[in-house]
Amino acid sequence: MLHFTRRKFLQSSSVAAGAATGPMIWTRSAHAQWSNAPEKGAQLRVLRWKRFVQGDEDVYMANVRKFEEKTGIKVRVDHEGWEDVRPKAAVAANVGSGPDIILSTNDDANLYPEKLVDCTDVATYLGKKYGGWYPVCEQYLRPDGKKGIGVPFGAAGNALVYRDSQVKAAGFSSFPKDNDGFLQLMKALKDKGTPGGFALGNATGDGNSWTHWVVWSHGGAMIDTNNKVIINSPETIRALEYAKELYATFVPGTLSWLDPNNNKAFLDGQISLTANGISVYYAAKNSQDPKVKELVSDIQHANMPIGPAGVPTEFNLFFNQMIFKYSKYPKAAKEFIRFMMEEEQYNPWMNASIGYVCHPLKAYEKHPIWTVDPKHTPYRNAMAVMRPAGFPGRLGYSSASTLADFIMVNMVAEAASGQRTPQEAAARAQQRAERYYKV
Amino acid sequence: MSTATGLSLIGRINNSANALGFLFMLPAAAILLVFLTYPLGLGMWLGLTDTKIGRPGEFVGLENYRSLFGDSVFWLSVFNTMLYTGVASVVKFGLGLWLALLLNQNIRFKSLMRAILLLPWIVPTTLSAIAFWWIYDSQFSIISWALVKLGLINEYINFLGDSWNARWSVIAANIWRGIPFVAISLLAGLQTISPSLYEAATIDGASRWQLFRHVTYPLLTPIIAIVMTFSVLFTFTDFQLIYVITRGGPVNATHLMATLSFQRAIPGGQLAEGAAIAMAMVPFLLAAILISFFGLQRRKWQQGVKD
Repeated sequence: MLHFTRRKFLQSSSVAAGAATGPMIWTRSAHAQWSNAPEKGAQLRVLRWKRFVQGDEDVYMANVRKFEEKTGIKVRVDHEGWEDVRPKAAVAANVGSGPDIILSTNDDANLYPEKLVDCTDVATYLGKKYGGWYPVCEQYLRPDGKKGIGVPFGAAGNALVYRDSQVKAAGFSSFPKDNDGFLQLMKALKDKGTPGGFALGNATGDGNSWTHWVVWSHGGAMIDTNNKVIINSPETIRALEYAKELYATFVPGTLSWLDPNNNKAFLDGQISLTANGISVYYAAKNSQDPKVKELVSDIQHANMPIGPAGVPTEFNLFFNQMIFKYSKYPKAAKEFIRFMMEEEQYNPWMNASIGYVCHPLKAYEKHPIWTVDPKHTPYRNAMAVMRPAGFPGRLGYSSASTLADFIMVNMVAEAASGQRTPQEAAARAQQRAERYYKV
Repeated sequence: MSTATGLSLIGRINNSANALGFLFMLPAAAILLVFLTYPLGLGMWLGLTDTKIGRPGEFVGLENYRSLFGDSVFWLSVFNTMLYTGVASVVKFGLGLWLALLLNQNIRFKSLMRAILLLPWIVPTTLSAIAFWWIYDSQFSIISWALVKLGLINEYINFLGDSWNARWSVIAANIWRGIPFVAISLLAGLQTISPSLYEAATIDGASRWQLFRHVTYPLLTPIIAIVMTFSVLFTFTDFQLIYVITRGGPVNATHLMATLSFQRAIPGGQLAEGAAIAMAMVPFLLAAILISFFGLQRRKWQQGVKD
């Protein structure tokens, strides 16, 4: 039935014969073209993660209203905390009913690829029109290199947030770009009585992002390309030794930090440096408190330093858009996703969230939001340099469970705090990860 | 013909106490079956499969349990749960009984005091948990702040960043939250004890301790058995406090079986493993229920009723 209507439509709009086979047409055509006829009387339900910055939700919803006016398709959007979207999406996939479109995180689409509508056509169209997708998008949403199981939405970039005056006072005129320089800076900050700190509690966002960076930047990884667990490696041990030295410079209490702690401590002036999204800066800018407002001019951002691995090794929170097969209106759903990703909508939306979500399409690199304030610039490359948590293996239940069980965070926390030696911590992480990547 | 037999059947049922009793029990039995037996059975079954969230699984026997047996995090969570339940229950009982005895006296503003006592129990757990999260915060703790201002300590207490500090901190939060239940229930029990018994004992020259030991305590035993069973069950299955305050950290030092089960099953997607952890809690809970059962048996014996 679905096939039939599509063919009929394509014929009537006089697109080249053979179009019925689907996505190939877009890769052949020189210009990005899009033709799609949403189902008559279509209605859509969208479930998305709840905003991190207010501007995101405001403009996203304004775009939704615009879509409704243009197409006459009613759209209901529900917002849930991002950690709650994951189980809901999984249950919807399993039960076969729920929202037509779900905006979820990380490797969710890789858990039930067969339950998702093939989005190759819309992804190919958008890719062609906007300079292509970053490679990490392919790893997440086109795992076999052919079929698109969703459309990337962006990623919450993570960077070092620091107090410029305090870094300068510690004797650093420019921010160090490599791991050694960074450790020196952290030591100097500590000596000046203005230490930094990274979350080491079971913090899903902040804990995972910096601990993955520290291991990857030394060349360590949880698994290899064949999904064999290789975390217990000399590279990891070196990373843990580095983390231990780093931890000695932290403000006390980071082992207990959950996601909100570093934001609170930074905005209160208790730490000089941490790793976070642009939300700290956003919060300072929009604060009514004069003391917090004063921070705005002093806040600076820098990318995570580069270690022995020689390349940037960042782990950022990835956002996808999935259409479920049980949806009665897959074409309307594709239309919705396409509409939201087009520059007329995506540009103002990026503006309003001051780049909290980094674009997945390369053309948006030129978006003025990244240069209007130089403090935004470090977040521009979030998607260009990031890796998925299950790097460099295949994503799926094993990578999702390993991440959810805080194996990387716990390993770094154990070694950094001295509860275990780096060797013991790495061996234990190996053992724990092997339970999920069953041999 | 059929109506006649139908009528006579209704008539027969009406006249049979057993059949009628059975009929009246059916709705309750159905509710139990649908909302208790089925979920429990499903949990048991899931624990024996390799179900992932969003994907049905196959029967794998005791594989999940075997795998958990070799998982140090699981054993740590068992230890934490036992410690958490043991310490919190004993302290809650001690303080709860003490408060109940105090409030059973004729003190001023008795009703007001009783109302205040209930406050921690009335506040939604998540809200009080958030309050404790701030109280224990490594940078903003009011306790640390006050002690520093008083000049008693020099640096902030690392409440949740150290394994043992974190354990004691969450136990303290649980005690605070659980005392009202124990105290009010025991108070209700105390008020059922006839004053004449105390008068008689006083005339016999009993000291205050003897009054408590030989009048209050034996008559309160059945209530204690029930209250403590519930208290242990609530504590053993606690989830919200831990999830809000520490998420099981630091390095899993405060993970309880309930929180670990959730972490593995829902965010981690390993539904079967989560179910297996939840099932591993059942023997402990059963033991608590059995203790209560024997506590109730003792009451019959005390009242001189033969079994």
